[in-house]
Amino acid sequence: MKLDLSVSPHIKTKSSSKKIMFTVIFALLFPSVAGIYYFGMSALWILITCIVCAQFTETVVLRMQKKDTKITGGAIITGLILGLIVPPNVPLWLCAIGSSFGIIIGKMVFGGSGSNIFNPALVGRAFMGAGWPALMSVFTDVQDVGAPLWKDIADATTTATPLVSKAGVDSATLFLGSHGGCIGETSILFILFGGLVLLIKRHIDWRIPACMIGAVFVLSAVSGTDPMYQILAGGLMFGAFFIATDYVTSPMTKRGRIVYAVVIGCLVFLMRNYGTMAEGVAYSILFMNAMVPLIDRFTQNRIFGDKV
Amino acid sequence: MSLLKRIAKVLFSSDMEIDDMKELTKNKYIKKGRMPEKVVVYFSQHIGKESECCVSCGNHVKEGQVIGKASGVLSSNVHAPISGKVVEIKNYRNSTGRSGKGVMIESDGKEKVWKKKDAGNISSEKIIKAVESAGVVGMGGATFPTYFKMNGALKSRIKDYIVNGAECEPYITADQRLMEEKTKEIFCGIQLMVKATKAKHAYFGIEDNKRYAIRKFKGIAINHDWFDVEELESRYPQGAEKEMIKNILGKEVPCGGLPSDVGVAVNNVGTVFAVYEALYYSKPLIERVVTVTGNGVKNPKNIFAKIGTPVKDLIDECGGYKSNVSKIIVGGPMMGFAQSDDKIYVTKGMSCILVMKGSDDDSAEERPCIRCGRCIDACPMKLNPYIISAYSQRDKFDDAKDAGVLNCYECGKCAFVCPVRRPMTQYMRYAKEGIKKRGDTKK
Repeated sequence: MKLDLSVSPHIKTKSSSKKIMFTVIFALLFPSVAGIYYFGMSALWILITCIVCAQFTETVVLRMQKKDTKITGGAIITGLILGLIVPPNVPLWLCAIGSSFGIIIGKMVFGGSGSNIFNPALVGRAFMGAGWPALMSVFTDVQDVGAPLWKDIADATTTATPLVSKAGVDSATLFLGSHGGCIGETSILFILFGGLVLLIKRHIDWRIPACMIGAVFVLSAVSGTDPMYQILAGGLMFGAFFIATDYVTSPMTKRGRIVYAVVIGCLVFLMRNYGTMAEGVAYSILFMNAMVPLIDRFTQNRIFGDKV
Repeated sequence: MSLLKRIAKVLFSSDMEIDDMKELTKNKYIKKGRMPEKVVVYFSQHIGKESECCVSCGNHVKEGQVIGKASGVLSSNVHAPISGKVVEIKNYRNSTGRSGKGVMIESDGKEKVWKKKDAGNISSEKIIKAVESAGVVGMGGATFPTYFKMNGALKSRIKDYIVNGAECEPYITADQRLMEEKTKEIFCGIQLMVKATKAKHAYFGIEDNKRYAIRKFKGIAINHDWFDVEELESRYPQGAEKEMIKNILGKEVPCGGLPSDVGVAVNNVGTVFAVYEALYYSKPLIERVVTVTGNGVKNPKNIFAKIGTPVKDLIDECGGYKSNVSKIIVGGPMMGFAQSDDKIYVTKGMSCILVMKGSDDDSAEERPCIRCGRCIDACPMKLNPYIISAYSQRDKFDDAKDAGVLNCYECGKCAFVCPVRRPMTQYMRYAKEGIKKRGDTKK
């Protein structure tokens, strides 16, 4: 009889990083479907370009580093998230540049999976915004629903996002998503579907979306801006459920996550209301990503039995 | 399980908790083990110093006769579990993989009948003396000599006495069966322990997946206001001493401290039963309940086996192995020891023999940490296994110590929950070992 010798524990959870990654991808499909429905074929092409370029870049870099090039899902998530947070009429070459940049500078230079400080998708998004601000701030209007997929992109009209125009869109429209905006950020309903999947599977900590959205809501209410409008418009919901919750770039303790999310919410509020940009979710999260080691340091749990 | 519950389980299962896997044996009555033809009794079956051998080859020993005398710190008596002839005294490998002195006794087929006597009116000192001479040790696996704990409890004037019936390790049902079948006896044991330790109140801590045992003990508790049954959530490691004290009394045992520091003593139900037998039957600890289970044995059972019984005998008694057995584990799947073969023998601390078939682990390879924080949420001691493992990997033992690694009791939950399969518990052990090797004892 040949027996395996190993040390305890002899059983492991059924969960694995791969399963978590693919659940996240599944959850991201909800806002993706909504984006493709509202913005048509061009949105689909953007998503595909981002995903393919992100994965391709990662594989190339891994090969150069002589590391295992197995697809783990991380780059797919990065590409998918990047595709969902850009306007629906961005040229595909820019998407390719953005996602490659995000993977290389945002992730691989730090040591690859698990070692990055900043969310790679946001790094890519920030690079695109800084280098090509004009292309990144034109938003096509929602296509004629019913025949969106084969409508020629050239026919599209442009519009302002609700946060820029500051008015004119009612809550129901904001909630369903038939208004101008980034591909995956407009339909709050579908973002919530995806977020719910992650919450039920407990892949994300509810504290992050709750505190982030809560902070924006409370500050808006206190300062006299319409709180519902603030939380439904722009990228807040998407950022709160899918970007700020990224394991690698968020704090590890529950207390740390609360601090992190509340500060992000405050920064979003300040940037939106007193900054030059209409939107501030991406930069707020990026800024707090950099703060995570600091937050982690000061929010460690009290060891059981240690002095209070 | 109802359909609704099952759907809820699929939907809301958190990957963080551990299936208890007790269905295999939880409804099987404790079966008295077949009389072994020969037994091997180790002289070190307790946490302290090896007891001193006081027989030699060729001697005839009677069942219950002392063959190893307690000598030194935390030592404990060892008795002959069967009557017969001593045939060999040498080093035998034990279940932790180390080897220790042991004695092989060949049975002469005689079996002693232990007569019941009354032990109602007996003084505290006498109880402790009897427990000491009966060689009772902690039977949950720690094998801490019980008399030592009782003396400590007396000295620090404990207020509360806790009986640990959690049995949180998956698969094991030895304690559960004992609680269901020997309720009255265990209660008598508790009375003795409370009397001996002069505690004011006794609590019976039990996980809520043992409904029948809870009902039985609650029935007793109604008539005794010094005795309470505490239902605890079924969540590994609920049965860890510190966890249990916290969840029953709300007190935290200080870092590096003992339960007596907060005025509590905790004993496993198996131990309490052994105390009962030691007092009411003058029977030393020569038998214990062992759960033989896992998908690798044909007919899993709870067996009341003689100490020293070859593990192979117990497995044969359960119908033998199924094909392609991959692992034999002594103890539970979370803290047990994998064995290289089945040539080991039952000890006082052996609650379970778990036989696993095929590759039950998905054997997913280790990947870089994704900082999900599950190990931090899982740690019952509220440590940060993530950071400690990183220190450990780089041999930064001082940093690991500052992060509190010495509080770790290796429950294995951090390694269980890790989605990238980092061997967290091993990193913890490595750091603890590293600190110990440096002879660095300052807190």
